[in-house]
Amino acid sequence: MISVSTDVAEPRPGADELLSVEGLCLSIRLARERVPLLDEVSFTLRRGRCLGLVGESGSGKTITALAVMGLLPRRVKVDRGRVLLSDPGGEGRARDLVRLPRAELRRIRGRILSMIFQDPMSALNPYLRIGEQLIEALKIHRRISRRAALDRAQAKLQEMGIPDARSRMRDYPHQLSGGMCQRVLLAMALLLDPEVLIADEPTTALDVTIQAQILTLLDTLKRARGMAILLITHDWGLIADQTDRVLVVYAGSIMERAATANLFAHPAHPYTIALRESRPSLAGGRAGRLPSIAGNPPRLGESRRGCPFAPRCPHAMARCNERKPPLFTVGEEHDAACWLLES
Amino acid sequence: MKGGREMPANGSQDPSVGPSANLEETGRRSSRATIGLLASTHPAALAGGLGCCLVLVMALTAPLLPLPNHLEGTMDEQYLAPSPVFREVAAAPSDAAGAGVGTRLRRALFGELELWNLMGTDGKGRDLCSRIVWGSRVSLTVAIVAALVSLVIGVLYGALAGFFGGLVDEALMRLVDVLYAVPFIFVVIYMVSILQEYDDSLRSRGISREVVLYVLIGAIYWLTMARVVRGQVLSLKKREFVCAAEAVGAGRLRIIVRHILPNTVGIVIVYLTLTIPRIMLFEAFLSFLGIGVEPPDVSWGLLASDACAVMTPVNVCWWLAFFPGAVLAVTLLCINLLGDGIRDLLDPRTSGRGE
Repeated sequence: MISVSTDVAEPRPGADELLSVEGLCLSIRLARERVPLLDEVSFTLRRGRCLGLVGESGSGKTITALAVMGLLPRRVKVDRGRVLLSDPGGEGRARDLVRLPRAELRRIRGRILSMIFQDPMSALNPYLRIGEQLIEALKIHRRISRRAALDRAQAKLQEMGIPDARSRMRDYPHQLSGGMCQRVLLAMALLLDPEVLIADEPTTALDVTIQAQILTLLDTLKRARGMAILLITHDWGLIADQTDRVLVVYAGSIMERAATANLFAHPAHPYTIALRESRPSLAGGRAGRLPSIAGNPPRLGESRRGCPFAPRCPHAMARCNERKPPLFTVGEEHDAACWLLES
Repeated sequence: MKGGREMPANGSQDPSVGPSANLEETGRRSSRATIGLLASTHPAALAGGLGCCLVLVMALTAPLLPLPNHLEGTMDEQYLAPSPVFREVAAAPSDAAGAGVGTRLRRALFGELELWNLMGTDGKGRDLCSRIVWGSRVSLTVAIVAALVSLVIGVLYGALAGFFGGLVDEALMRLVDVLYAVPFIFVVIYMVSILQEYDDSLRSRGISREVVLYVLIGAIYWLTMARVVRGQVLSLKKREFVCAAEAVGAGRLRIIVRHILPNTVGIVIVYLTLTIPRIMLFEAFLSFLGIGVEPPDVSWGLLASDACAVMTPVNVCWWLAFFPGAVLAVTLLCINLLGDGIRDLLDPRTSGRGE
């Protein structure tokens, strides 16, 4: 891939760093004002690793994924920050996807960066047969005959564990179950062997057995092909199983980031602790109420000077309402944004 | 219309749907299976389709049918009430020499036999049935040409406005609002008078005045189509599958053509079947005003307007108004029924394994 203008002297991220997001700030235009959505979000996706992104609904998980893909809705703007993609063909230069021209970005999407969506049923065009939809990426990025493209798509479907792939290719999306659709989407995203896969709650719509199949599949891809995965979810089980590192976000800010094992062993941020506690435990039986975090997440546009979690935090101090805490280092590659940890 | 919509609900429980629905699983449905499916789920649509075919065949084979000359009559046969008879006519001497293929074929099929006075005669003694059959050619041509023109303009315009949104949408749709305010009948009158002026130069280029008129009508009737399509596109472009298509790197053109427009097909067809009747009526109206089809050509609208001109309480020639009106109404109904059925058939969610 040739690109001239955008290959400015960005330093290349570390050898196995495929994608790094640096200080990403997003805002949305509502009525007359601009309301911040993401505040200084940074993370790195490494080859063969899986990064988890957890948080409540509306904490900015999906919008982060869309920002990386360059698929932000028109009303959402990137205020600051970079999304650096180290392109294997890019002569050791990283390219900033935020500033990449649209046409250039289009050649990256689906080929190097892929995404699978939350709701598999609505992410497929109801008027196109599965086969037609699958070969779209091939038709866009490769010069390939229709026949060859269909063959390849069918092989991919089979690889995703779809029985009778040949006849499925001719089906319309409404004829498939949710799990099938998710696998079709996965096949579509993986058709061109992308380096980075963003999975936005890939298993929410699926039942447990299919969930397990899909996760095994993702795991294999990660190990065998060295694909980097960004897994967006609010399922702690998934986080524990699949991810190497976790990013906990709340109201568009990073609360804590750590290696998965560390986060489970020593969660540092009060929000992470509260979030970990708000889940049904099998051992506890039905006795008692499900623990939850009191209060509600801040509404969009509710401006706060201090820590966004302060109003709901059991340990909140006067200071928490005045200044937003930076990320303090807690341990090795383990940071959390809380004044309690300042030392 | 209503019947056509309610039938599928009953029809899908009908065990007879089974075999034709199963065929789909093996791949493409054969056309016979499609018709079978249509018959069991949308009998009204099938009837509409048959009606449309009938009118179409009638229009195409007009020269072959054993009907009297639609342009000439004798004064002693004027205002005859319908009383159909088959009669032999002696070939006019002029016919024998310069007979066209159609006339010769007709002669081979039916000899000198013709069906006389099926629907009465008009003030000049011409056979009304024959005039209706010949008039269908003009009426259908107007409808098809104009509807296609309006379809192309309307869909493209609406898709652009809806997809690009924002200022583009605002500008394009305000223009539509402005055009809605234009009294088109005056525009047409104006254009027709211009056309008459340049009639000769048009004809020398092989363009007939009528065709220009049809295109003109189509160029007027796209406004609502554009609005309908724009509304659909506005909501479709926010759907997740559009985002998913962008995520695999699809460009704007591909997204519009491949993902958004096919999803508007249902409503476009329904709207088209509403536009065709409106265009046929508009043509009838223009002919009525004397600026549409010009005699000796006939169209259904012209026949109806002729009827209105001669009917008086003293001279009640009911057939003159009834038959052209009835044919027009039945044809329009058939088109509507057919459109409704096609919409259901094209939608992959309602065809196939009836859910």
